[in-house]
Amino acid sequence: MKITREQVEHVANLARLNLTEEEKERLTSEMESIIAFADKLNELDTSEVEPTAHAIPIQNVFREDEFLIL
Amino acid sequence: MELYQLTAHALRDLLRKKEISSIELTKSILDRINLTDPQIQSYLTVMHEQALNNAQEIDKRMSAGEQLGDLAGIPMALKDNICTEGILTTCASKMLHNFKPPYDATVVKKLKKEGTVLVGKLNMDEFAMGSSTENSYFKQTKNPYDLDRVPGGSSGASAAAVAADEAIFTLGSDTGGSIRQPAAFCGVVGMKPTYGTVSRFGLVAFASSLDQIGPLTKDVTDCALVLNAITGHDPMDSTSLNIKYPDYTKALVNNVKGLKIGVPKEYMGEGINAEIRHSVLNALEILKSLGAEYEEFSLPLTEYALPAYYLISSAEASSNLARYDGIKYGYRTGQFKDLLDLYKKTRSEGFGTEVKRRIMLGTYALSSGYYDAYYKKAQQVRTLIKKSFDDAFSRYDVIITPTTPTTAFKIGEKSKDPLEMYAADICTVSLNIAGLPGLVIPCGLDSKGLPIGMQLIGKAFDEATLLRTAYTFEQNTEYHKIRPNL
Repeated sequence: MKITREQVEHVANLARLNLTEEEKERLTSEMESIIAFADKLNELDTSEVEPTAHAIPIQNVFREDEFLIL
Repeated sequence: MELYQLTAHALRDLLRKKEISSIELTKSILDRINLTDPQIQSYLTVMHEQALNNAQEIDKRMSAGEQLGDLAGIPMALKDNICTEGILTTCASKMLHNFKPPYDATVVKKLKKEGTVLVGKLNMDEFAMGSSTENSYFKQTKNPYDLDRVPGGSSGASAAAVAADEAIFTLGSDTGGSIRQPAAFCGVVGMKPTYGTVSRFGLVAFASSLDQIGPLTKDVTDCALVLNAITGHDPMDSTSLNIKYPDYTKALVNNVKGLKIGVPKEYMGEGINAEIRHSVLNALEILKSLGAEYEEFSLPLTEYALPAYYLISSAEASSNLARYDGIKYGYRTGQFKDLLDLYKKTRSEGFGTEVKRRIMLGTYALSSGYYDAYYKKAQQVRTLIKKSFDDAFSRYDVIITPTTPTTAFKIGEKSKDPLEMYAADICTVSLNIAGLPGLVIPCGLDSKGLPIGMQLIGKAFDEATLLRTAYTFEQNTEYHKIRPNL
């Protein structure tokens, strides 16, 4: 996947970062090579696979509601 | 032998027999820090006075006959992303250069309750992102075996301080290998426990589904003692597991008869330095001679762990680090036009290069239109990797691999190319993805005299088998006694 300078500027804005011209240039090429590396995952067919958010099954922690009459 | 050279369990025995006091011991460590830390550069904060006061307090309680835990009076230090009430906790970032937490992390509360003596806070890669401690805003920690080389990272100083005898033990945190890789580079024992066994409350978050606190120690017995002190259910951490935690010292048994060890061939291939392969094979032969069995097998998907890890960890980091906005705590830019300008200037000035790179990658992977292609895909691959370990553990009790593809590299050698640096984590990231425990122990030196670490991987919650295997190895070898010449 090609990463454009416009995409880098868009993502930087989402991340609330100001980038210098030099940083934009560097990040455009770095992100492109990191994303190309990540694209390796597409070699795997995961159409039938559930995503795992946490490796160890856990449930949220709840406490009893407490009612306060003021 | 000087006091600072001893293990926690040896010192515990001396303290209990009243042959030494915690004050003497703490002074010995503080003197050692004064002597060697100008070279090693492990500490960001040293608490001379507070440490001596704590030690004196422990001595009083001991001489009053109070029964204290195994780690009472033992000087230790913490990675600087573990919150300590009223004591700087910087994450080695300009963003938190002035941050004094209003509360203690759960592990800190537990160690205080044990009566340990906190001597200081340790350098790291900024926000735990890195494999060399080169990403610290403050300074470069050196490898005690060769001052031109990195100590590993991100808990580089947690490993270097133990190797240089500047703390009896330390705590680090491990998101993709950040305890185990520096433990291997510095020739100490390091454990990443099963995800959820050590509370993350008060650990500054990097990637919440992967982060885990763990000990760095001089031997396996000390590792068990520290695990006893820091594991346990914590209602303050929703991912903390409410299970029965064992007494880990019960696992310190010199016996591996019948133990089934699997050695994944993907971890022993061309990418791994030949001396490291040789050293791990030698260690396997030693375990075999003691009654264990080992065989090679294939652990598929190993090559996908690294890209999956960098997507998941960066995505979670970009979300976790959104809180640093200049409003609530830490660094704030000097001049700004409006709120958005304040956010942007603060974050651009406060974060270092690697942190920005990961925030950018993570924000991209989570952004509209790319979420399914990257973040969700990586979480699906996570399911497959976890399953491949489950399959392996139906046949083996322990999996043994090298910890790193190379021994400690030179400062500056890999800091230019992020992908080359990321590859340093190739042997360690899978465990975080699958939530499994990993224990690294020294198993020799290479021809340059640099330490080599062997990684033992266990089933979830089976730290005991890792400790038993490592303890048996240690009882029958001398590798853990090797120390750097400082």
